Amino acid sequence: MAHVLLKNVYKIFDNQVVAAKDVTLEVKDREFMVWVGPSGCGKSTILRLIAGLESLSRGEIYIDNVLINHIPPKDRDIAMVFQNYALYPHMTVYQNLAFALKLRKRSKTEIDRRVREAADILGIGDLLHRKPKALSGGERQRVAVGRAIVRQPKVFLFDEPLSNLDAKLRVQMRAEISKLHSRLEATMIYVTHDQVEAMTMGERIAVIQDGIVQQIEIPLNLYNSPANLFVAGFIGSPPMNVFQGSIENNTFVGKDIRVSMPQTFQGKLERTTEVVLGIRPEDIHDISAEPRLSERSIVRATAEVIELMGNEIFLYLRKGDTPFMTRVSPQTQISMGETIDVIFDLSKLHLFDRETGNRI
Amino acid sequence: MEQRTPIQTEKEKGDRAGYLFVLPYIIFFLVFTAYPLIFSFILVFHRWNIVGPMQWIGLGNFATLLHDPLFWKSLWNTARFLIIHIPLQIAVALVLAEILNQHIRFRGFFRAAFFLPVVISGVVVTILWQQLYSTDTGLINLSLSKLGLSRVPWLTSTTLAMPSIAIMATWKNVGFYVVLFLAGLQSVPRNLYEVAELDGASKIQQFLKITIPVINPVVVLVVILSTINGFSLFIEPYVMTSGGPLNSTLSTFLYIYKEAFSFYKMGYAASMGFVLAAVILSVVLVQRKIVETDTYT
Repeated sequence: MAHVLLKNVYKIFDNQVVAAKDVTLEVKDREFMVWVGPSGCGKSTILRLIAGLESLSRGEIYIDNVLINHIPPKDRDIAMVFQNYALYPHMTVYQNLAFALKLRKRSKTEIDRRVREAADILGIGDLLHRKPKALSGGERQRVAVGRAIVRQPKVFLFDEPLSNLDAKLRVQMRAEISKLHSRLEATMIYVTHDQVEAMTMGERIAVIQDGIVQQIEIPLNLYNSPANLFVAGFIGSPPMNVFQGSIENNTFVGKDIRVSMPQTFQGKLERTTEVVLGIRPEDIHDISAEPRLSERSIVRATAEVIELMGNEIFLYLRKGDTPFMTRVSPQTQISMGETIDVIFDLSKLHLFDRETGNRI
Repeated sequence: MEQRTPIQTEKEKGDRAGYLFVLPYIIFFLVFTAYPLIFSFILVFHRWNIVGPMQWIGLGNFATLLHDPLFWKSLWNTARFLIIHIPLQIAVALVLAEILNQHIRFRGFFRAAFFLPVVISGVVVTILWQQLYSTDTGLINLSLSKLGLSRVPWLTSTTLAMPSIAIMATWKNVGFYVVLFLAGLQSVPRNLYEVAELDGASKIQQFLKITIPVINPVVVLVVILSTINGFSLFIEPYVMTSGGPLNSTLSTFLYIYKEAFSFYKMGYAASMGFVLAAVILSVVLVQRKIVETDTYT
């Protein structure tokens, strides 16, 4: 198993598009690390740099402390699973799984043993004689994963492997890949644009935007203390509410909203006055639910849209020109156009520098 | 019912327009395909010299054909042509397509250049090559003698004439098959090569184990098309050698033409045409059996 290190990695394409900008990150041995970011943020390209499918513009990549910049892909001992499966269409499932081992001139008995082992793990034993065309999307993805497993590589790379599956299957495969990781105890890097996948699967998550790593953290820390406005907005669904404003006398003053800042922020606020205040929808409560909060601030707003989710209500509110949303209990009695008093839980406030976007 | 009438009229109008659109093709088909086919089928059972009346001879033409050494020779000549032409054509076309599919300089120019002979008139190309192949004044032999090698009787030797024609025909047609292979190559997903590379396949292994099997449907198409085209070998021997020397380049097509329009044996020529069609059909069926794999099932 292996440890992957990227040091000051740059990838600039011929058309001057920068896909990776000074990326430095470490994937620990046996870690399951998820890279998440919007489409085109460079995460897949960085993955392909590790695989050797793209050449580096600058920087160094190490696997187990060996510089692999100039080692060809086949000698890097890496397996990759693609979004569109990339199964060899003319080969049966068995041949697909066996291909890499055959090229490496392994004995027939060893190939057979490893193929059947991998097929067992993924529950595709009865598909071995079918061709990819005769498989469903989920089965194809299993075969693609199986093809990686038989290689017993140092590092597994997953490039949005579940994006082509339907929602239900995606949830199921998510759990299976996580299980697979604990079973194989392999180093895995998993790229996705889906923050739910990232949060549920990653031991650590790297959030990437514009080729720059924004934050690397364990999922809960990422959620609870996003390093900047981008991470705050990207992680969490529905997204965090943000309000532009400034700090005056320890009070946040927005266009329509005033919130007195809690003790924890005092002392940090002298230098910056232009700020962005963030609060997650679940940290805004309906007053009638009588939440017990030590530090709170009441805001009166009008309900614009009410989305009944069954187990909760997404409430889109507006105060003056400032929209925000909250998740409240399904018992909340409210109809469109009504005013409601909501409470901001001040212990859960996030504050960002308006200029840099960084967390204060 | 009254309400339906206008809708039906609309529909009828649409139908009429549709028939009108396909009419030119239907006329073309009737005049140039259906009529000749039916007429030649009738001819098969007759003796006819165009000017005189048709004379019913039953299966007499086929009896003659069975004992006509020249017909069998012409089939054998065509086979010799195909044995060289088809593999050569496929190999050259595939290699060229693979090269033209890479990011090379002047790719557009080369793609056009290799296609050019396909659109140039066959007669022009043939006359050009006749010059190249000429034993005494041909460019090829001049170059050979400059290099101190002896001249080669490209078109005047009974053993070499047909291979020479096969090489020329390959040069003329290869551009068409390059286009087909290019389309096939471009339909191979790039990811397959990336996976194969990570799996440890060299470039040559990728070509043999990924490219060729994945484009198998195109290979089948090319084999069949070049077989059918190959069987209709006519212009090249007609212009270059008139079937000589000693009938060594007499293709079946050329023989049919000569019997029909030099000796006015229309019935006999038609019979040979039908036999040739049957031969082509059986060859293609056998080829499919051998070449086609069930890639996608």
